Amino acid sequence: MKIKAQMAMVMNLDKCLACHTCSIPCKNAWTTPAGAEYIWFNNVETKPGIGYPKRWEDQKIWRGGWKLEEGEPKLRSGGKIDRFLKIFGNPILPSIEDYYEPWNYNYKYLTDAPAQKRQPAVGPRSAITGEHMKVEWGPNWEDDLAGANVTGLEDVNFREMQAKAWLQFKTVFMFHLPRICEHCLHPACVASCPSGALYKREEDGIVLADQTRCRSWRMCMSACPYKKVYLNWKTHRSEKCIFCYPRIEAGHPTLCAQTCPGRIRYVGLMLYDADKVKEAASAPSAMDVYDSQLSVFMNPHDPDVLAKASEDGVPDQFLEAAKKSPIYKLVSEWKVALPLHPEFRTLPMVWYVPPLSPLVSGGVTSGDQLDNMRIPVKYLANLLAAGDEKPVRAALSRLLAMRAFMRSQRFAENAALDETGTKSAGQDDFAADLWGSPSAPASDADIAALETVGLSPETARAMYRMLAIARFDERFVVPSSRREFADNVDKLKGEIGYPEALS
Amino acid sequence: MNLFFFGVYPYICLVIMTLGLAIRYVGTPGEWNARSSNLFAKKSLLTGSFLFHYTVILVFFGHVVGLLFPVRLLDAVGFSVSTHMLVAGVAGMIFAPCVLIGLGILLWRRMSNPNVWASTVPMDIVVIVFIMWQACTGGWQDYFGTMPAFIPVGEWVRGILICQPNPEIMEYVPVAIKIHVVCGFAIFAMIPFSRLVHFFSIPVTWFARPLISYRRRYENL
Repeated sequence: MKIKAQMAMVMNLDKCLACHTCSIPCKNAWTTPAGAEYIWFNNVETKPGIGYPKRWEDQKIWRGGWKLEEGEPKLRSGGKIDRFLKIFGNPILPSIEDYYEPWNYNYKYLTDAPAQKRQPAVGPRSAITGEHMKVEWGPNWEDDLAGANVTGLEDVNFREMQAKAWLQFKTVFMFHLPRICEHCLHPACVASCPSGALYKREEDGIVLADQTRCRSWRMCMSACPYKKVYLNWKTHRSEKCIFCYPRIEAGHPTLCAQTCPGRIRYVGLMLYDADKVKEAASAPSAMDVYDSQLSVFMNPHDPDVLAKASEDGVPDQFLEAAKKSPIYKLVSEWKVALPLHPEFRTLPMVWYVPPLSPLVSGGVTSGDQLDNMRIPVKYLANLLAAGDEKPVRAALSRLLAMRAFMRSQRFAENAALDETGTKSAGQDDFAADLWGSPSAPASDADIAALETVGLSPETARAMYRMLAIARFDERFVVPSSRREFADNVDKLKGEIGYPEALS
Repeated sequence: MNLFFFGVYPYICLVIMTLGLAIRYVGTPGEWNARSSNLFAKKSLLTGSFLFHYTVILVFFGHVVGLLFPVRLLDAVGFSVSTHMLVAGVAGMIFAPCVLIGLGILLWRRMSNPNVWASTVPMDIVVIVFIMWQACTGGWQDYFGTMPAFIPVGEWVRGILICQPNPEIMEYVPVAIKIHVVCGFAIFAMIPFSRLVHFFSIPVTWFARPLISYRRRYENL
């Protein structure tokens, strides 16, 4: 057993409304230089849809991630010898058209145009060539289902479903999927890099591309099933989401997480057994990968685990953070967060709370409430659980039970207040709500309802506090790194970094 | 003239190459890469690049065997001068046009695709033109050459490598070969200033590396 710490993120899709606030600070901080215009470390896609780059989830086309061959995980993009012989040209690399050709506008012309009969207008110009161009795709082209009746047909998450029927106006559904690099436990990009430029940080598991060792072989772009490694067309080097490591080291959450107005993002540590990673990635069927990945995570409240972790070099403040980790609660304790496409077998570390959705019209009263939700469970299962509906149903039922319980609590509180006459109904005791503290005792019926989904009133209140209140210091538990061992940063200032950015 | 080009010039080129590579590796390690344009114009790259790289690698090894091994040594293993002539000639007749066609495709896509053109630096064109020129002068020898040039040139190259240059050997080789040699050394000198540095980054260590590599942020933590 070798215990390592891993920085991880959970996004609560129930609350994402695709405002793209996450993408903007990320873009501004990390991918503004020429050559990086088309690169979005963070982008928000609308589902159903094929996303950015086009059809990234379809590994029949892009051959990313791992497949199981004789019980061993093998890169779907090809083994070392195969890739070495094909190093001169990569046939499974998405082209710029699959991402999108970046563009800009000559805004200056709007103010500088000479007096003329008509209002001056500017058209899009390619950020690569500077020429006029036709805009045909983008990092969120299918925003709020735009064109999804056409592109949605190619969405692989409709596997075993009638895509056409689900894309009709009356049945169509929609939710948003913000995406960053998954900082996988078993990263395919790292495994595919011929020059060893991509690596996983020992301390916090952040996957980085070493800019001084990248030789432009571009294997990582193909191997990553999430297509979150990009080639800067000007420097010809790989760039990818760095999980804002300079901020993480200083104890701050990533930019995308901190700026999220909906507070959908959680950042924290997970302890895992590095020796079990390969075994977990080799789970016999795609549907087993979710469970096998869960089995890799270690309980930070177990004193034996903490002792072993300490022995393996995980610093004390990391252990403290792991105990308070929101990720551990959402992923392992409550099991309301699920991995994105576990069948890619990279063991991703950015997980998602599946979205609840309104019941379809018609006042359905019979049957499982989940089957009457606008977003079909099967679709979510294809996205978050390799097609297995069980974990998705479990997560959604818990979210529903928590909602029902808190609503019942709210009514009980108000009723109690009415009787005492201190407050009238409707004037909520907001403070009690905020802290999720039990100001009214839970009724037997409420407790029974919670028990059917495996929750207790305390857990439901804790979930409510984490998911609905989502306080800053509870959603982000980031230990600062050991700066006493750091390089002399003052000396390095202005000396390292992207040369393009310095000039 | 002969003394300069075949006694002094090769050393100038080799020194530029070695020093240049060292300075570039230390100074701007981030720019040491193959400058792939695979992202733009994929299909034309696949045809041109595979054709060019595979044939040029075979040509490279052909030069290594033909020039660095003394005739006596090859004779000893039963590889006579006439067989050598035949093999080298036929291989060259096939490979020189392949290199030319491959590079032609690469040059054409570089100039015709606006995206590739925008990511091109002048040195990219220079190296393509030089290597095409090499294929022409080398191919000329294969198609029209009458003497086994590899015998004197090989002897001369070995002299250069052991720091005992004999420029007078080169006096009587055909002009095409002289041009081929001079331009060849120019390419060596160009390596540190172009994308050709990727010769020295052939990822052989890949095969020894574990699939998932971990690295520490601070070595002494």
